This record gives sequence, C-alpha cells and structure tokens, in this order.
Amino acid sequence: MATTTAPPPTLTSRFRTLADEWRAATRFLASPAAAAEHPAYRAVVALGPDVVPLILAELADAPEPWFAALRELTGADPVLPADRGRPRAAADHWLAWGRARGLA
Amino acid sequence: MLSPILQAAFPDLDADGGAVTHPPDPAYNCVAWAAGVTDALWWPADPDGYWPPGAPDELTVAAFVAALASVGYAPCTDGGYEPGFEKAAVYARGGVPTHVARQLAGGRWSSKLGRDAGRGGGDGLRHGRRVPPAACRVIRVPRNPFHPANGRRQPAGRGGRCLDSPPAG
Repeated sequence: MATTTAPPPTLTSRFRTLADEWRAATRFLASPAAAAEHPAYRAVVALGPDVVPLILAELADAPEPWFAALRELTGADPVLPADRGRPRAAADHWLAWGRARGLA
Repeated sequence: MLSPILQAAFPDLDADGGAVTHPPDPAYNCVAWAAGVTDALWWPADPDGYWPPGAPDELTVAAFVAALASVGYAPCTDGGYEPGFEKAAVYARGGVPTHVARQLAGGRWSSKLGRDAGRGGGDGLRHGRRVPPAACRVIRVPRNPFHPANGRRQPAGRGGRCLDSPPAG
C-alpha cells in the first residue's frame, strides 16, 4: 500500500511516460478491460503501490479507466455496485478513498 | 477540420464528410452513445463496464443487440434512412463486436470514438455519411428527440428513459 503523496521524481516521470503512451494507444478502445491489458498499463501496475497517488491525480483530471490498476495495487474496491461502469462516479469513490488515506 | 490524430486513425473520414461534434469525454463510449447515455461505459463482461440487466453478459453481437433492445431498439433489415426511426449498427470483426454507430435524423451516422480523452485535446464524436457495411447488424428505434445527438435534453421530471444514466435495474 502506498504511504506517501509525493512519489519520487523518477517514478513520476516514468509514470507520465507510460500513462501518455497508454492513453494514446487506447483512446479509441471502447472496452475498459481491453485498455487495461495494454502493455503500458501493465507497466504502470508493475511500478507498484507508490504509483497510486499519481493514478489518483490522473483520475481527478479525467475519469479514465484506471480502476483495474487501483484494485490490483491496493486490494481495495470502493466503487459501489450501482456505480460500476460509471467512470465519473467510480472516480469520485476512488478519490474519496484516497483522500481518507492521504493519497489524493 | 479534423485533428491529425483523427485523420491518421480514420483516413476516410474527411472524404466521408466527417466532423467532430462533441468534446472528448472518457465517461461514455460508443454503445452508451447509441443507447442515449453519456455517463457510462456500456461494455459486457467487463468489471468496469455497465451492461443492462437481462442482456447476455458476453462479447457477442447478439448480446449487443439485446443490450440495445433494453432501450427500445428492435431488428430491422438495413442501414438505410427511415424517417421517424433511429438506427444503430453493431460492427464486429470475426464475430466479436468492436463498435456501435447510430444514425441521426437525415441519415448521417454518429460514432463515439472509444473513450477518447486525450490531454491537450482530442475528438469525442464523429459524424459521417457512410452507411455501415452490410455485415453490420442493424437495429432501429422510434426517433427520440431527447437523445443527446438530437440536440435536446430531456426535461427534468419527464417520464420515460433517462438519458443521463443507465436504465435502472
């Protein structure tokens, strides 16, 4: 579990590179699960839990499908069943979860 | 003028009379757009997708037809324009659905391009004239003037299908 809201600059830089690559490569995909299978997305997950604050910051900017990564990295799933498939609501749940832990 | 990204991804769009009509928005996708929903990602068998209760939760053309039937679509024969009806075309590759487009008044077709949300701009929707290939499964529904594509929002409190959230269930 991530314990800091200030990831090291090298991690931030690596994350931004991967996130930009993922976004560009999957922007026209309709399936969140398919987008989460992209190698750049998997590489973000492989960066480990310290990347969670960076993902939450991305979610605050736009409700992109980072939810699978967050579940994998944290073991949590704060999205209510009724809000599954609704990215804005799901992002709000994750951001509230992150704020409660000092991660967002 | 289409962005370089759109021109690269869809090189025939200019010739097809395509135009961007809405800003990028990652909160809904092509299936949701066909269903008149702009706050959900409609996709089956996906932990981060919404799929209507009762529709098979599987990546098949039949499941897509069933999902869109939940908002009133019914089978029809082709993608030709029929006044008074909206149509949706389910695109598939090797039997696996890849996209859904919907027909606008006058016969033009409208697509939400994935969840397109690129930073620094992007293009959310395209409109073009091209009729979907014959291989597409086409279904139709009586025209709903309150669909977002038709430029009118459903008044608050009005009965019928809510356009801002998935059907209750």
